[in-house]
Amino acid sequence: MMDKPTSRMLTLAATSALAALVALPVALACAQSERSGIGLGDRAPMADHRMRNVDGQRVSIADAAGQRGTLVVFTCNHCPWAQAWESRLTELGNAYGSRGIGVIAINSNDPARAPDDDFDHMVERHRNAGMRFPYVVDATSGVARAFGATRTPEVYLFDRRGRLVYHGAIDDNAHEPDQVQRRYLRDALEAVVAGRSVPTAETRSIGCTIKFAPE
Amino acid sequence: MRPHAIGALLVLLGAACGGREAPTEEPRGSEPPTGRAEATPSPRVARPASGARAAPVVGPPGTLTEVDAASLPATLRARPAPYLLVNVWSTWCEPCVEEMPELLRTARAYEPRGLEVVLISADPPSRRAAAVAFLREQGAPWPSFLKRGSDDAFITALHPEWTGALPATLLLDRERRVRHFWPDPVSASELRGPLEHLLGAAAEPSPGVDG
Repeated sequence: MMDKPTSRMLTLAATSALAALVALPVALACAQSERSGIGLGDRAPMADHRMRNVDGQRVSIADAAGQRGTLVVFTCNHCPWAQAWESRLTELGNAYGSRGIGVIAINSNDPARAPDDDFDHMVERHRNAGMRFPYVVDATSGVARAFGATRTPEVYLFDRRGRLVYHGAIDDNAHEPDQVQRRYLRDALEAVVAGRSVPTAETRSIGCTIKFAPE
Repeated sequence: MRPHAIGALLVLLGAACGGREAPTEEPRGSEPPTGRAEATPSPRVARPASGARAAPVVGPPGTLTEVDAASLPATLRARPAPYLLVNVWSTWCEPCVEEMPELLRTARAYEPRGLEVVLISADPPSRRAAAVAFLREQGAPWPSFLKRGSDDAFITALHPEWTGALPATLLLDRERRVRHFWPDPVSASELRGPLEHLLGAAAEPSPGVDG
């Protein structure tokens, strides 16, 4: 059956309107799921959420915040990449912790999925590594989800105004410390302490997936 | 036509929504996020970039051929198969080790239709022998690769959406464009849809046959 030109135009208009009506909510839903996590310039989410520290106290990101900036590290016990970077991370955290940077390490892995990431092993790793900053349990993995963190280790550095200025890797070589060429986190920490802008704001590195607890 | 038009639109939106299905034509906005350290990411892995190198000569079976960000595009272009299933894994990554048998079994089933599996180990060089032993034990195909050099540059060269978490699996077409990206461990059933979609279309016996 042939449509007359006018009715065809009407049909087209109706189709477009219907398509737009259907498409809009889909597109909006998309935009939300695509934009999970935080970006440069954002503040730390769930900053007042208190988590169990290795010393038994409950500590939030806000509690750990420093006057000059705050370093939030998603890490864990079992991941070989987290282990490879552990001494470098501890060294940086301890050093800059005494220079006005608040440091907090967060374990978001579900011990049901990664048994070595349970609380007792956290206490042991914290002690053996000599960390002089909190290492806390994100029991629901909610904090990692809110940050949009996906792997261990993954670091977020906020400046003195609480804005995200660096996100990513500790340096460019996990397993061969003597081969490191770019010390991304140290350079970013140095810049934040000095109140300068960080030289490289985002990097990625290979690591273990975060073993999220069920939602 | 109406239901088709709306359907097509929704399919397009759905694909965009998942963020996993890459475009079939030119890559979408390839602007890097502010302050990124390395070169502009491109979903076409095989596109030569500045500083790109030729494909390394692949070693004999039982050896790992080193690949870095600069040699990755040429390495993938040099693979003879029309379609590539690239998997980045490590002996230290439990989910990678767990998914490997099913991944290899699935890839083998699609081999007659032009699929080659390209395994890239992210193990440190000290674990090279362990990686080879695991690949042998799995009956994995050769050549097989070992990632070297900067993580950030390599991740960017492989796929802009990859965060670096292991494992990562990608399906590449003849142009070595990323047609599907799985940022998590994959099962055979998760692999099948995109494989059928890409390889099935290629193997369509004649036009005009209703699907």
